[in-house]
Amino acid sequence: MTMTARHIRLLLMAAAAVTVGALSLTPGEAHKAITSKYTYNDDVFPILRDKCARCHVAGGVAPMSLMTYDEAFPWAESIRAELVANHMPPWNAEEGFGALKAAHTLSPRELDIILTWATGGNPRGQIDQKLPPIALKNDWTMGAPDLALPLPSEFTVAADKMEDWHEFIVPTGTSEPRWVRAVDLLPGTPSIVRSATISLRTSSVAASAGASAASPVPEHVLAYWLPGQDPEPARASAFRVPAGAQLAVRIHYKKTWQFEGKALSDRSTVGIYFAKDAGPHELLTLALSAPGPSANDTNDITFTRTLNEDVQAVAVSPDDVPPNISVQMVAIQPDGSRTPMIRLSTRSDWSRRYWFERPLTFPRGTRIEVTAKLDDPDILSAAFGGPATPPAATSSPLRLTLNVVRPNAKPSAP
Amino acid sequence: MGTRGLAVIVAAALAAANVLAQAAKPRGPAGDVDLPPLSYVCTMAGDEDVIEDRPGKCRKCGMTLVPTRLDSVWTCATRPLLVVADKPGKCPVDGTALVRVTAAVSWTCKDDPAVDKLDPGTCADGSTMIKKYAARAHGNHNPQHGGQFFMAPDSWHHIEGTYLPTGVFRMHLYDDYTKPLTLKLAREISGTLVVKDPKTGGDKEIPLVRNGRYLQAALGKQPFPAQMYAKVAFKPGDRDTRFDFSFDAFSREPKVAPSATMTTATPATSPAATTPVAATAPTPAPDASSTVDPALIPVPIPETVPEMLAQLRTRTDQIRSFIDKGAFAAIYVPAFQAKDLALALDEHKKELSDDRQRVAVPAIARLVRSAYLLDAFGDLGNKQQILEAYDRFSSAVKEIESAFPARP
Repeated sequence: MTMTARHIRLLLMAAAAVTVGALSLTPGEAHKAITSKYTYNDDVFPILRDKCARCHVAGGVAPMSLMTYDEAFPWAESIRAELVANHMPPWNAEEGFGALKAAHTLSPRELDIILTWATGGNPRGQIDQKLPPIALKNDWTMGAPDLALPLPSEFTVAADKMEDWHEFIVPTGTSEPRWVRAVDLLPGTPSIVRSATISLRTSSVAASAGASAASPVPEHVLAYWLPGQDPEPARASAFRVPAGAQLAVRIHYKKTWQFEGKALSDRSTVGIYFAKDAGPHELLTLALSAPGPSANDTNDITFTRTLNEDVQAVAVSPDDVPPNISVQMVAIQPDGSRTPMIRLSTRSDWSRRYWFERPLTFPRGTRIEVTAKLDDPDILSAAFGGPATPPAATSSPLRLTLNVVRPNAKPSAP
Repeated sequence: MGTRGLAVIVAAALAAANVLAQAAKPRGPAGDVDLPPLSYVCTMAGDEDVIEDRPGKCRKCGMTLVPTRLDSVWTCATRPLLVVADKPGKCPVDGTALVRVTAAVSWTCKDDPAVDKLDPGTCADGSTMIKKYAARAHGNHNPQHGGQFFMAPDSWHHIEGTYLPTGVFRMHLYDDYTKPLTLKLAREISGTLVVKDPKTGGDKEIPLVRNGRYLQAALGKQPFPAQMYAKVAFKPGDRDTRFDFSFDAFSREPKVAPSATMTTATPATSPAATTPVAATAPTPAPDASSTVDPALIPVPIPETVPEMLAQLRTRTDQIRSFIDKGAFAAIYVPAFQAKDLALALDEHKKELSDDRQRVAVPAIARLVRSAYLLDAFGDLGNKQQILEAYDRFSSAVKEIESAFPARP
């Protein structure tokens, strides 16, 4: 389902919901009076500008700009649905469960202001009030990278395609091994670069061994890039990038409806930020995979992995999970204490790495317990959506990656 | 398309739009007159939903917006705006519970009803101007005949389905002022009633036959809850719109026959009013507590955290009881009150430790989202969805309760 179709569908369904109406069983209103004390100019625009402008801006990757009143108000119903469903801003982890860095969310007050405006007649505010024009910012958010690697070739999304995927192989050209704290992507044509995964090509053998390896192996996925999201530099830990390594850059290109029928080309640039400190801990990966089809019929899957050495957990990423399920990860230490780590409502196209606010220290023998609920938790889509999302099959692959460091390892050269 | 009854409001509003009036807006806690804020509305038929809080052009048609004061008031369902109260209560005419409508407020003179000002003042004869209320498009979505009331997708037609003890389904047809359609307009509408045949279990289609200004179908007596839907085309050649009805009992007409119209600009003050309550509004509600569910009565946000938490709990229980009673369309009232309480608690988050804030703030955000979810699902009327939304809502309430100590 395309973003466009999804938004239009939400819009139509929401409109239909209003008109088909409710069974008014009590003396009360079938509909509410139309008034919002918040206006676009004074209240809504500043929030949209600060929280949504990196995508919802002319030339941005989102299907619509929200940076002017005329652009925003037709989407009011859609905005309501996306906010209520917690689909926007895109941050799929449940806040308050575990402590994660850089939660990209709206405050309760901001939520209420936008929802009140979206459901309350969408007032503009003073008609002659000039709002500052908001232009697309397409720049390195961490500053210029230490090494900028333009993709070797341009890629064109054909006129008759709405989305496409392409993998580029990019030689780093480094002559010695390096510690890397972050990898970012600067889109050449921001409106079509929807997501990217940047991996080390040299470690493909080690990576495939990682799933079954008894011990953590070096992390080879350097970045899950998403539009509008700041890269999170690893602190006190780093990726080990061998000399002359090659990067595999897999980009998901997606056109919005404005560009339907047009061919668009992109040549993005990969940016590499080297670690400053001399001996960071190497970022390792530990796979957590469902053992196989689940025997129970409750549509829940639970599996655990026991740590066979002392580690600090620094990040987690859902590598291969079905969309629209909820996944929870909890650590159970040998003394029985439980540490909530993350709870996610998965959505396709929004995979990322979630960094813990501070490293979680787990002694050997700690069990990492993953519980997946396969019934669609997305009740808003079920209500407004067309065909209901079928529950994920219990045989679906389910794999998450836990990034850890060995806190007791001696500092070493990359 | 004519501007119809709106012309009344519009002319009035235009006449009164002046800067002085705005400057003289009484304010402050001591002010004995608390005026509803000025709103700017579009007078184009079909654009009545355009309401701004500043002057300007209509974003749909470009017409200059006109100022008006809109107020949410309580009135008799069957005699809209004849009696106006500022809180729920009982209709002094027929004893039914008052219903809420949106009305345009202005001031006029007893001896010169042509006077229509946006602000109170003094009349030429030295008397104090009196307040009056006029209907507003979509201001009244209350059933007029004890049935179930819906709006058509064109946002102009409104319908009400009733199921009469004679086994007849009757559909009343209204315009955007909930005024019965003229015969000419009613003639354009056609439809079919679809009802389950109790014997075969299959769907049975019965044409809706026009009888005067309404449509009806004789379907006989069905077991309750009687479920049926109507397919209605509002203009010849239009696509059918589906309206679902579920009747738990036969519809009961309110005791007093409804007045034919609610568009008269000055019903509350007309000297010709012959009813026993020629009220000059606002009439205090006779006894709010006896007729209206307390869950529907807004109360101010309390000052202290423990009081806020207590009220949040009460509102949560009220939502649950509305769900249990099937009063889905009313859920939003306690849900939004609870949301405002949660936002008030958010203002007190600084009093919490960092750890507690980490629980409280996301829980408050979840409560805000689920309040709007309850609002949306309440309008859709699917109990399963509403219960799921309520689960989210009440778990957010529990987390808020756990984060805020009951005693500081």
